[in-house]
Amino acid sequence: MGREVAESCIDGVIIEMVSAYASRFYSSKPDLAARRIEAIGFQVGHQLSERYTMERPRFADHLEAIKFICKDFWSELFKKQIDNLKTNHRGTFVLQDNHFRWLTRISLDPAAVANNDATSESESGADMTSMLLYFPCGIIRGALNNLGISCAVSADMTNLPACKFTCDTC
Amino acid sequence: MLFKGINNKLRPQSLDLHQFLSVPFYFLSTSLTFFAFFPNLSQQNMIVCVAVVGHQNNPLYLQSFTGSDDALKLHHIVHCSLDVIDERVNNPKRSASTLNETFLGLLYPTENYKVYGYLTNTKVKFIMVTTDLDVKDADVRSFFRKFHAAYVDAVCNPFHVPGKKITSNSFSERVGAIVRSFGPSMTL
Repeated sequence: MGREVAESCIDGVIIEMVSAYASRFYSSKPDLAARRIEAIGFQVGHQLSERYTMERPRFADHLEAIKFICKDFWSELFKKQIDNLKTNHRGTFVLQDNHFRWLTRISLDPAAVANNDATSESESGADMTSMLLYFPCGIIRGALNNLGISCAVSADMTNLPACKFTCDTC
Repeated sequence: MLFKGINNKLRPQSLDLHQFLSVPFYFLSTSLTFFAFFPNLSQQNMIVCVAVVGHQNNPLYLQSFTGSDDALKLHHIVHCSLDVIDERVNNPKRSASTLNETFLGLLYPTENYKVYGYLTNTKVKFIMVTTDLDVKDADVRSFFRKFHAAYVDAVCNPFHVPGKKITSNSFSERVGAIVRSFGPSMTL
């Protein structure tokens, strides 16, 4: 198939990309940084869904597409499936991952972010983590968009390393 | 340090070369037997046109493999086949087991050509026009499988803008190689 790359390289690239956009390119405009990161994730998700749906028959409805995201897509990306999928049957899906792989290396120790110019040190760690989470939100949104479902994806990280992604299709 | 390192596994291009070399021998044998019956058909198993159409029916890639005076007619055939695909997808007349297959099969035969369609999960349509009169289903399926792999690789190019035309030269070359190796001599 293709060539292989160590997983730590992927971790390094993503962490550095998020930090570059948030602290260097758009340091005064965090909203713009978040949107750029999410747009990068969108294109990545678009292309990845194209690759991972190659051998499969077509999906019959939205629920099958979401299940594909939860099982095959997630296990290709993170080597595990989504742990919990909830829906309100009216277009909102909540995907819960109890041990999100990209968050396992994040340290939220306030003493480690002493050089940040945020208003309070305890907030800056959470800000950085939420910046990081825009990327997988973009990936999910890009993948669903390519499968014909347009939605808005947001992430909720109240208890790390578990993470909930909420997809709103209306 | 448990790094996996970078595996320098290049794509096995020698496979295409092997198939490409075996095709001329087949042409020699068939042209001797069929030339008396079909004097117009100097080439067998010929794909004349392939097209990739996006999910809003926007053309992403259109390539014809004959002289330029035929090209417009082939584009017109591809355009008409889009309607057939829409109709096939919206009104399935077969049972549920073939409802969600990606390969749509023979769309419609015209007087000289046969048109085959393939619909991916992301609503991208591949259309193939061939002059062959007794092409086998398995050959077409494996053609579309290889074509799909080439398309996925072209779309994953970070310089490709989704929704715009595919401008990659390596994609054109790969498609050319797949088209040239189309025929009963394909083993994959």
